Amino acid sequence: MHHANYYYGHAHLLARYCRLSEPMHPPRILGYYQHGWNIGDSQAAGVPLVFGSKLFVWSEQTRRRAWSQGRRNAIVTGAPFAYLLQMEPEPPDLRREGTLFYPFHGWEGQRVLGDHARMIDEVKSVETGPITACLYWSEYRNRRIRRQYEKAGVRVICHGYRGFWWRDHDRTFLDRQMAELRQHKRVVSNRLSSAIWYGLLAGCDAAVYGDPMQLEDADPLFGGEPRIRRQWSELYGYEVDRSVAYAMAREELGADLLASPEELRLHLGWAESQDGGHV
Amino acid sequence: MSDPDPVRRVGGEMFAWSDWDPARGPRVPRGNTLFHLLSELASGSRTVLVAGPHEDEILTRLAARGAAVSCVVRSLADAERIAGAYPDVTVYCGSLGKIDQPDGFDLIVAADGMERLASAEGGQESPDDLLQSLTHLLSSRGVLALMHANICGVQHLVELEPGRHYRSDTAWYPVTEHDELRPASVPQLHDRLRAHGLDVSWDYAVFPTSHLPTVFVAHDIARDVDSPLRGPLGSVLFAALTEAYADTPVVRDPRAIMERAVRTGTAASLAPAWLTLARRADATGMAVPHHDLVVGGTDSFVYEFSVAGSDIRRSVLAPATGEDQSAGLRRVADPGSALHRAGRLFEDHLLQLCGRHDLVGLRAALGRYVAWVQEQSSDGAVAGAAALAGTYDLIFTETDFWPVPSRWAPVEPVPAGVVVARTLWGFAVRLITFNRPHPWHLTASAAELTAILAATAGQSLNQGDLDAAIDLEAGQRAADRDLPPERTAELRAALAGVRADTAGVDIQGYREMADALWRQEYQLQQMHALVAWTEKIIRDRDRALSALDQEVRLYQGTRTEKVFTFLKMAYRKLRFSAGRLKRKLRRNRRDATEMQ
Repeated sequence: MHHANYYYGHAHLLARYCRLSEPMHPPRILGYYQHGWNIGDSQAAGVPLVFGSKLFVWSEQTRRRAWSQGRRNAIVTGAPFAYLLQMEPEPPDLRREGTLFYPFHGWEGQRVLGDHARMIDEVKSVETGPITACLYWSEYRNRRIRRQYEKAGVRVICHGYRGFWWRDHDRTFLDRQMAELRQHKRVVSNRLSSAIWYGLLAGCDAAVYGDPMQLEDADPLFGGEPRIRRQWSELYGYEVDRSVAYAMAREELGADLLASPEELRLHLGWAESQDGGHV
Repeated sequence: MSDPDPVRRVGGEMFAWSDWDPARGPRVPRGNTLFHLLSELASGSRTVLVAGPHEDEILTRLAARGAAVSCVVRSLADAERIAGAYPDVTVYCGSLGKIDQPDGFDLIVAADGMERLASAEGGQESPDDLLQSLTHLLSSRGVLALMHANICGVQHLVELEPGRHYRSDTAWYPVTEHDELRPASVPQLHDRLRAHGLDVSWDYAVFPTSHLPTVFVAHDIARDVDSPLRGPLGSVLFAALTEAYADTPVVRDPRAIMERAVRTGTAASLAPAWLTLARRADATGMAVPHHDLVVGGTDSFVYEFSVAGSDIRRSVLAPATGEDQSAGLRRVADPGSALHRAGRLFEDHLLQLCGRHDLVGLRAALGRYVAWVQEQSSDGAVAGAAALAGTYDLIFTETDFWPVPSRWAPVEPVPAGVVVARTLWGFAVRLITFNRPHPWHLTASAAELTAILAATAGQSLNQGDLDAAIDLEAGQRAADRDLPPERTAELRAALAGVRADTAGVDIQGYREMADALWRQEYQLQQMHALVAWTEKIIRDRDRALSALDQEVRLYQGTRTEKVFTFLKMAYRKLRFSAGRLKRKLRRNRRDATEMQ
């Protein structure tokens, strides 16, 4: 229904999990799938929702919050990334090294105000192994920002473009992200975000520290960064208790609540769909 | 020489009247459960008085115990009919207080209550006068079995009959909640009985109606929220109320009220009536049997559940008196006795999990249920009453399930897939029509929700199994209610069509209709929003299609056409950008003017 369902190849990944015959062309999802970790009602601020539509949310906590905001049709189905990990078990001979750093980013319509150089210095002073910085696609395309990282001796990558308005989705975005996470020992960021939770679920240590940077036109409705820092304070600092953080990641990503392929097909409106979709 | 008038007229007889006429008043009390309990009391009684209208069968049942049976009715026509049909029964006609029986009766049965003991003729007796008359007629060893209607019973809470007592020819003095002279509670009734020299031996809360009571629960059990019998009690009350209120318009579905009452230990306070067994304070010879929970039907078997430590004992008290087959089902004559582990009603367990949106718990519980059905099956099919056990008929213990006895069993074993589909479908229907909270989408139909429940249980629902399950459900409901085939077909269609906006499939509750209307409005609002969104998307996709079409034409055209198309696109883009720039400049100029 909504183009955000296709961001990061979410719909494609779920179609694969549901064992549809054409997973790269998934049928329309009947509802809105939460596409990123969220401290609000599961949807990005300002997204126009069709009243009464199903919301597929990642965690029970998000469902409760959505209910409190008047969303009556939220169903907990878990994060697509958690499904990916279930489909792709960790190889036994995995060797992890270094730190994967995710500088905080907004989306294309927002600007992040902060000092990348200072952030890089701090990460370099804390992390011991090789560092990889994963930039948001728009920042990755910005040569000036990219050069800042490269000059600091940091490997710079981008998982891909999440896509917009049913076009140009990178359907293997999450596969690439999973592969990178599994190569690293630690995942860090200057803000708690989906990537940190993904990293924890994929077996990395995690930490959130440094200048959280300012998001231009950030919506303060659900408390923003100060609230995140208070509510998920266990994730903040240079060293984080891994078992506590891992348990939190399982909860936030709904990893213990994942639906079976049969259940998911029914929820997404794919029960009858063995044919392909349009994307 | 035979008595020239077999009816003993005692004064106050009513003419042109019959208490057996359903148009005149409530039906007379009947049912195997009631008859069994009263027959038990007759053991050891030499004389029995049946006071007020009762179904005739009670006379023969009591006589079969060796007692001399008498009865008193107020209508002369009724008295003459009984006297003609049962020559061994002494029939009194008129007002109870005018019976002259110096030795009294060893057992007085007043299962219709006291209201129809008073005649329209002559002086009028207060409820306490009638109670005194009853106790006065007891022998020195006598036992009184008195049914007393509860003015706060569930029947009054849900009643939606326009006019109520104004429509009843028998309600010249209707029972009202304002009558200070009528005992309004069990303690008040006990006080009055004690004042008349009786001791209360045992009390039952009676369900679902006083005229066809099929569930008798001891007051202590009904009050005990920790009783091991709470699960079975919830189950049998649900079934009894479903049958009693089928197709009846009510303010609210009584089952929802009784669920809360069972949970809070207030079931006895909301019982339609109480059956009190009292005997003379100095009587010692008459035994009054005590039961915890007795269950039966019109002509089905009668059984009891009793507490056996932390377990539950099930004993059959009387086999079924009817024997027939209907829609592939046969009536169970005797479900047998058993000792069960105490547990929780499976429906309650699932509802708790649904209310808490506990998907992990639901997967485990439903998975366990499916495994249990598979254990019960042989060659993939389940035989006997277990095949009909839904979530409201199953007690869920720490290790197992056990079904509350069913009156019906399938003639042929039922495929396990159909058994599971029927159970899940029934639960889905109740989730919708009872407006229950659950973790799935609230606009789902029963069929959709059944498929989701099956998937939650790790099963894939087969449409053929669901159709067969609904057939089986319709068959059982038709058998319970003795419906003709055309009504069964209508019922089946109604069951198959349960959607989010369906109010109910058996009991027509006003509140449930209001809930269904709310769901319907929600769905309608959603549809309107969806249509508006779809229109917007179609417009957007049309634009995208035009752009793509233009792009295709650009690639397909000749060189000149390509140049022309390209120039056209460039011109449009330029015009669009110029427009935007112009608007921006205008805005800036306006802002600057406002700043000055």
